[in-house]
Amino acid sequence: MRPYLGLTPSLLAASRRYLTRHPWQTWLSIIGIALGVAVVIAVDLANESARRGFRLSVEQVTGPATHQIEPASGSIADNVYARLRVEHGLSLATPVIDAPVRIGERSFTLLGLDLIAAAPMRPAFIAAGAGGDADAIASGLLQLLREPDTLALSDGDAARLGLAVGERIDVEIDGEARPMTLAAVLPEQSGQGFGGLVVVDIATAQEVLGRLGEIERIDLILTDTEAAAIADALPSGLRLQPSAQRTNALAQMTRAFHTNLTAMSLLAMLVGAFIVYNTMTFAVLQRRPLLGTLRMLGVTRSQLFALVLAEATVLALIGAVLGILAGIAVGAGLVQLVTRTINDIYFQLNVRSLHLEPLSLLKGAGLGLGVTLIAALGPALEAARSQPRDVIRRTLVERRGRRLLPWLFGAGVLTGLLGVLLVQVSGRSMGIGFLALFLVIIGVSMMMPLVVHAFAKATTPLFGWLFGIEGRLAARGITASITRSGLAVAALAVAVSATVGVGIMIGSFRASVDQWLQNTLTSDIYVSADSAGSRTGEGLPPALAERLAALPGVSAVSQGRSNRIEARDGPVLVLALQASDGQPRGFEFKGDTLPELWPRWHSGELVLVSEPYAFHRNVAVGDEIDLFSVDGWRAFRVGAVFKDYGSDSGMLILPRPVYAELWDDPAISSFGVVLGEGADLDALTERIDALTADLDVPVSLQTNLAIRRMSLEVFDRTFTITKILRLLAVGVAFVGILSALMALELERAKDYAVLRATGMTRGQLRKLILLQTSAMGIAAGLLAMPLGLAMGDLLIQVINLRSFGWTMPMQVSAQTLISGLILAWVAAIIAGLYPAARAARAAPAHALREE
Amino acid sequence: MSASAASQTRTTPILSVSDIGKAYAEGKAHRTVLGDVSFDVAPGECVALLGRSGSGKSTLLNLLAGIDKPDTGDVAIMGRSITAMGEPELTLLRRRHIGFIYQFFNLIPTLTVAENLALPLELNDVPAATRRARIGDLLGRVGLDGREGAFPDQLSGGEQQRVAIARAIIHEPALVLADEPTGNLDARTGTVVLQLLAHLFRDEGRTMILVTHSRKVSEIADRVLALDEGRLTTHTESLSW
Repeated sequence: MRPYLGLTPSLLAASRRYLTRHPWQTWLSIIGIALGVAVVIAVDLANESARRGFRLSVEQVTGPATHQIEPASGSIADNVYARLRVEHGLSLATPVIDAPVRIGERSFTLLGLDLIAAAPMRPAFIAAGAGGDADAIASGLLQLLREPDTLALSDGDAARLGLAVGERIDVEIDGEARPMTLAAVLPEQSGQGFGGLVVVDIATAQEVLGRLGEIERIDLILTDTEAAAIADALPSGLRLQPSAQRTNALAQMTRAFHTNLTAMSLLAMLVGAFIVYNTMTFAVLQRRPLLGTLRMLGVTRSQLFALVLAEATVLALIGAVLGILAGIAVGAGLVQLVTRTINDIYFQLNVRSLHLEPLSLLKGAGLGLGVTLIAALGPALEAARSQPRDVIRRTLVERRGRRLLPWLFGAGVLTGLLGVLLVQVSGRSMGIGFLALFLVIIGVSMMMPLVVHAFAKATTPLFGWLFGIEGRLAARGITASITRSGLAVAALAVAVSATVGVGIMIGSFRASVDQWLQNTLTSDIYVSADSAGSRTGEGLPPALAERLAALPGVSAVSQGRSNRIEARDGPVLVLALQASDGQPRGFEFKGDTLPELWPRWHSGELVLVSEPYAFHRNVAVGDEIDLFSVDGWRAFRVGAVFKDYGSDSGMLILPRPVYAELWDDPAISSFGVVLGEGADLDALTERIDALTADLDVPVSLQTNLAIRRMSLEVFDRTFTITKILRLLAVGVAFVGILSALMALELERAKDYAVLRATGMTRGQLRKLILLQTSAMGIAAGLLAMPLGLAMGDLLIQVINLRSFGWTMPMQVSAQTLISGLILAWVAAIIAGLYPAARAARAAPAHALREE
Repeated sequence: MSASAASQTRTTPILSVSDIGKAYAEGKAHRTVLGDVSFDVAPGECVALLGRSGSGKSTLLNLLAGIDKPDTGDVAIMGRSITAMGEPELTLLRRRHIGFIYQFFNLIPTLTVAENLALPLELNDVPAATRRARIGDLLGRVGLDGREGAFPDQLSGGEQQRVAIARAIIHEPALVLADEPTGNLDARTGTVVLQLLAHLFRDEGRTMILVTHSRKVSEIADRVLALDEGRLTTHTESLSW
């Protein structure tokens, strides 16, 4: 039988033993691949788990409903549901109220349904009844209908909480514990099961949430014809929408967040590719004479090409398997961070565990394998180019490598320019934005070896002057083996530049958010309704404004109401503002505004839109936006676009009186209280506290400073995951430079032996190697600066804008740059410690004999 | 010259070198390394190329092996010009019809002795059973019985060169090119290896080009071609090496 790809048993044995005889090189390469794969898989698993958690919770809450009837604002009155049911003969319809609650340390969604109406819509109820103890479940469901403060949980949740039917449990609603009784335990199923839900009768939900006579929406199962008929017949202020539309609108909100995480993970993979490239290149260069011998014996170019690719495949497969295992472990931690971020900035999400999505694992492993093979293509081609005469000419390789440097530099310039060009022509595409970013990174890293060569050459006299012969030899060693040292420096520089670039982006972002908070939070104390219990918030009584204004020490009181209302292209957050002294303050507008902005805004003709809203929905000043009010669709003209970092899906600002009328929602979400001159903040806080103590609604009081501090805490928490991914990328790069140094040390064993034989002490040899790694680290750190700045600029001007619609000025702190330089230097020094010790330990006679 | 070799000179030569020349650029100038070199090698003949360092021996050997191209002239192996051959054809030619012995052995360090010998056979699709038999036979003939499983770094220089000699002839090539085969061995080991070479080639009627700077080594050849400053000369005695 012909050997596959011409790889005879002896060729494969030679290859296998080469890998096993160079365990450091082999394992560092495997670790590089494994880390890259692990980061990609961990992020993908965490993202998928979050998405799955979201999908499941939506499915569990909506059940198999095809449509929802939702109010333009607030809630739907009980009797509207009853009338619709009778007039339209809606048999498959249930009123719904849902709200986040907690039992112990766990988050749940309280789901209030008309259990009788919902039973035919939710086969799971019937399945539950038909399950093991059908009678017990049926009687439990009856109890839910008959008795107040009763609830049902899934069997899994009940077991996790250690609860049995009939036992009482405290359910935390709006921060207050309410004792309820477990009346039924339902089977936990995938899909539309009951895991994570606290199922109660609609009447119980209305009572415990303080929403008597109200429902939040009506879930229905309808055919398209039925849907069309009902949509036409709905009273004003109500709107029928398909379930999928609502789910998609919510899912869209986190899309950019997930994409950004994926891009960060791909960066780690890119750095991993450098390691593979480095290792395989070294493996080829080191075996150059051997490959020449093989060519003399009749081994063809294609056989050598296949041999190198086969080696890379083996490394990739082992790396991928280890990467999958590590990815699952890291993913378990990451999913908590992802969920926390989504909870912080998007919506309540409850992800119980990491979901091992086989596709994510395959994707990560496939990416690792693909990237490894692409990275190994160059070395494989290099191996295939081996000439039989290479047996004789050993120094040819480096010389050829050095000759190639200017070409590589030129190719890098072109690749980088292609990236920049892509940015210019790619419009709003986030995917192409990332591609452009990666092209710039790859382009600049291709330019690095020539720069490193020039740097080492230029600094040789300085190193010689500073450190004597060891310094000179160290600098010359870098130029002598530029094909390897250049790559190692490039890998480290890319990883460090990622930390610099992301650091600049986060720093600029944080500074902009801080500045924006200072501008926007124009009041000193904010009095808000603690609205965790309802979707839109119950709100504070408008009359409170006058009572607050009458307090001593208060100079002005502004009022705000926030609500999510429907626009033509999905729901949008609306903030209705009313300032006691005329026009609202704290807005920074982008570009032109329409003339007579404030009078026309006050009259209800104009709306202010936030920058992300304008970007994502492609609207500009002068455009019209339709909003679904109690009286149906109503058009507003965009009067101005304002800067806002509060919501990446965007928001609209309306005058509160106009909003209150059009959406029949006079309630207030928050009051902003401005202190009079000389007033004492603490004393006023106490007075407001006393004033609001007797209100029915739970109230929270926060000072301007506290809100700013809390907002920045949330901001920092949001970027924790980015920082972790950044560190992982540096970890991969560290493995890369260690691998490169080990390879160099192996290659130079004979040179070092000659130096030792000539009289160089172990200490001097250690110093030489550490000086060399220091020089490489410093070079990497310096090169990481311009690349980091470019990356930061692209992240701010392209990625952030296209992902979230935010613009911000780039702010570079010396600390970010210096810490990048130190990081590169320290990583290189640490990576050099072991090779230095190993080289110093080696017996010169042995190394000299080796040749 | 042996009787069999003499009778074969009348047949087609295994190797035919016609007026080949080679020059290398040295800065802006050109240095001629070989000029107008012509000779034929008959089947079964052992020819020594004798010359001092820098005389052009290695360049000539590279041209004969097809790993370098002459600027002028032609090299033909088994009647086929190799100067016009493409890389794939040359590779197959080396694989099937040429064996190499190097000064520094160039064994594959990650393969055992047996695997080093198996490699040319595998490349030529020789069945496993035949491979095993031929390896066993040849190892016995080079005096390395029982060392099949040893790696090159576990062998002495002389042993390594014996393995290299075995590897060069195991696929029964038409021509073996040997480059200073004893150049990296001590005098005593060199003599042993030389005797082995003489035995294997002279007795079995193989064709070999032996490049050396040592007159003693050249004595095992049927014919000696002396190279001096890139040209063949018959005045071997005048060369002081």
